[in-house]
Amino acid sequence: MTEAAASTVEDLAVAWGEFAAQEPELAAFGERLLGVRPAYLATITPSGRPRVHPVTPVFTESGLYLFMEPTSPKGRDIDQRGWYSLHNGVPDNAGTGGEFFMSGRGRAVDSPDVRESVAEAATYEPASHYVLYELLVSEARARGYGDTPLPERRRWKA
Amino acid sequence: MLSWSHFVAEAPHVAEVFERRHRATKNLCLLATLRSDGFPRISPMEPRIFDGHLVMVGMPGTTKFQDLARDPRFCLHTATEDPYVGDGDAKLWGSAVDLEEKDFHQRFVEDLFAESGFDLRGREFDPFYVADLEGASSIELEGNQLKITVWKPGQGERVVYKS
Repeated sequence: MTEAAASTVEDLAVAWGEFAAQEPELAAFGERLLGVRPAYLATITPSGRPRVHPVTPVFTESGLYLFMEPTSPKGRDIDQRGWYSLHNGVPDNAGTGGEFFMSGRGRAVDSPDVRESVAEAATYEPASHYVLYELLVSEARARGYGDTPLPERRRWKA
Repeated sequence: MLSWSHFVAEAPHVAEVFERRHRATKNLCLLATLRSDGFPRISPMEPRIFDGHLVMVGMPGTTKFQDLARDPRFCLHTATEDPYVGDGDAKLWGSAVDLEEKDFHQRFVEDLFAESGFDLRGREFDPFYVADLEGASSIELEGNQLKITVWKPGQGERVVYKS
């Protein structure tokens, strides 16, 4: 990614809650699909190669978060380069149930208050040593095939 | 090129975990590629292991193949069904290489047809991507510990345990 493009992402990415306020139907579709099974986060390694990891996103009213080990390569990738893509877990290659994917910039979260609210919203007990990241959204998209019900607006850009 | 058969010889444990999960999910994996703007992209893919190669098969012209044509680097993860990875998970990374062997293509589609009934016989493939592997890892739960096995070409497998 060029510096200019990275800067644009920095400027435009918004918290999940702001995206959801702008595109409630698309956000609800995404939140439902991202919660069904482990989702996948792609980051960029120091060599520029893509890297993919299964993750369990946590939604609060305002944001979308990930807990992870402090030594996690995905956290290092986000610290150093920021940009990511997130895709829902799928049951097959045929698009059954639909697909939701989004991209943007991730950032570490240090606030104890935010951490407490995210831990309360999580479907599991995050270990005390886990670190917390927020995923800001710069674009989101829904896709489906056959009779998969889709939101009216399927694509959003910040 | 470091093909699937070389990988199996160098990293038998990671290969076994990958194959087990690959079979369990009917070949489903998640592929990470690089978009033209530098963002990563994730796409479902059903690669197939055939005659010593990991064949990166799919609908021609789709965005993931456009990505690979521009930048062949990829990362491939087995489909995870259990967030606690009770049955293990594996990921591979490397570059997609266009294997220009028409005889191999036709043997592959014959095998595909025999196994699935999906008929691509007689089709021409350009490109026909197979994986040139540059690294891999697997993760398994052993008691209360995570067993992480990492492979790099020429260095064998290395195991790390995390509590």
